[in-house]
Amino acid sequence: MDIGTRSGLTVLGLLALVAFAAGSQPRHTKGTDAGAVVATTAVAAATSSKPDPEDVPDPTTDYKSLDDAKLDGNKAFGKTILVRVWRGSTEATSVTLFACGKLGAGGMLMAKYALEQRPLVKAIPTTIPMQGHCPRAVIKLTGKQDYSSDFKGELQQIMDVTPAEAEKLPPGVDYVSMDDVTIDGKKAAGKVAQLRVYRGDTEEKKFTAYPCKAAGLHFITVAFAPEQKDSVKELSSTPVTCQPVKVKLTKQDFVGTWTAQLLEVVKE
Amino acid sequence: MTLPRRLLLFVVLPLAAGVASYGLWRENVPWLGVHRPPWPHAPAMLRDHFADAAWAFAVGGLVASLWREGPRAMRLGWYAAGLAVCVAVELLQYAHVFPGAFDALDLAAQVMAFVVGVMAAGGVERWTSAHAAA
Repeated sequence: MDIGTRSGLTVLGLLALVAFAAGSQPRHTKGTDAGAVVATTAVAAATSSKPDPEDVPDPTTDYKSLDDAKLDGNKAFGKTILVRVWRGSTEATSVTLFACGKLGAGGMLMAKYALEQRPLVKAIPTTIPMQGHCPRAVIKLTGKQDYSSDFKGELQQIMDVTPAEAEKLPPGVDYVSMDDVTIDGKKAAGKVAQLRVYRGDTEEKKFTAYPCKAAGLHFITVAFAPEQKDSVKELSSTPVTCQPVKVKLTKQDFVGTWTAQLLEVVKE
Repeated sequence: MTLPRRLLLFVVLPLAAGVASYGLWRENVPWLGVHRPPWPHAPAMLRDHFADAAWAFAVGGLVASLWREGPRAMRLGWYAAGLAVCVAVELLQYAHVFPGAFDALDLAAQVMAFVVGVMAAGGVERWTSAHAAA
């Protein structure tokens, strides 16, 4: 191999590796996520003024890291903790919150929240945001979960996010985000959801659909008619290119797991 | 060892190991989203720095695999370019030019992994002999 070819290959390789590194970094939080607008530079929701979030001082709490609280064991119950968070599975009155890794201790906790806090909860990003941009949350620790050493608590304050706005629904559609389906739980059965998904395991009469950008672990077992086989076959099977499908939700099998009937693969 | 095998061993495999590590101990897997990892309480050195180190090892492996032969000055120049890429990727995160979060330990892990990658792919003897020749 001559030097020119070798140099060219080296440059190409380095560029590919840099692109690989950029692509593997946690996603930015600006933009829409599960339909909820998440603006990390938005005002602190707890205030009516317009300072930069970093200018809003931390509220006074008993702890500022999950590690400190865990070291106090049961003495931490009833006390408050300030933690920067992103969220996982979100139900009608509870949300799984993950501490943003490098800013403090790792770990997760399950927090109950009030109905009026829901727009703020939905605005918490569902993936780890860039360092320094995880929203702050104040949680009152109430105990530990039954099957792990993780805390459970009550959400008292969410900062650094703007409340998520209600989804705009196309005609004949009840849900456009898996978030809302999970929040409504069993009440969503019988309703129509239009979700961006990719296809997983596929069988003769059903396939597994994974909603894209959903908070937490979700999948839908979607039954389809023989005449829909070609449409199903054309559905993307990678999360890189998600496609909207319209389904009728028939049964909630578990928190984030549903059975549904395919209505149509929506053309974009 | 042929060049393709060398690239597979010193570039593709480290990258694959880095990607796999996300699935093992991090809740957020790039491109795939959130999941519950089988080993969420892995030591912080592994959880926070392994993937970065694996990537830098691959950079070193790439440069050293391609420049096992050739003029010594060019070889050293490309080694320096590879190291500069590793350092720049981390420093540009500090300036928010490159996505991600700057971490001094990431930087240290990447520099060390790059050197290890160069020595592994280039051959310790060749690397030391290049210096000896200097």
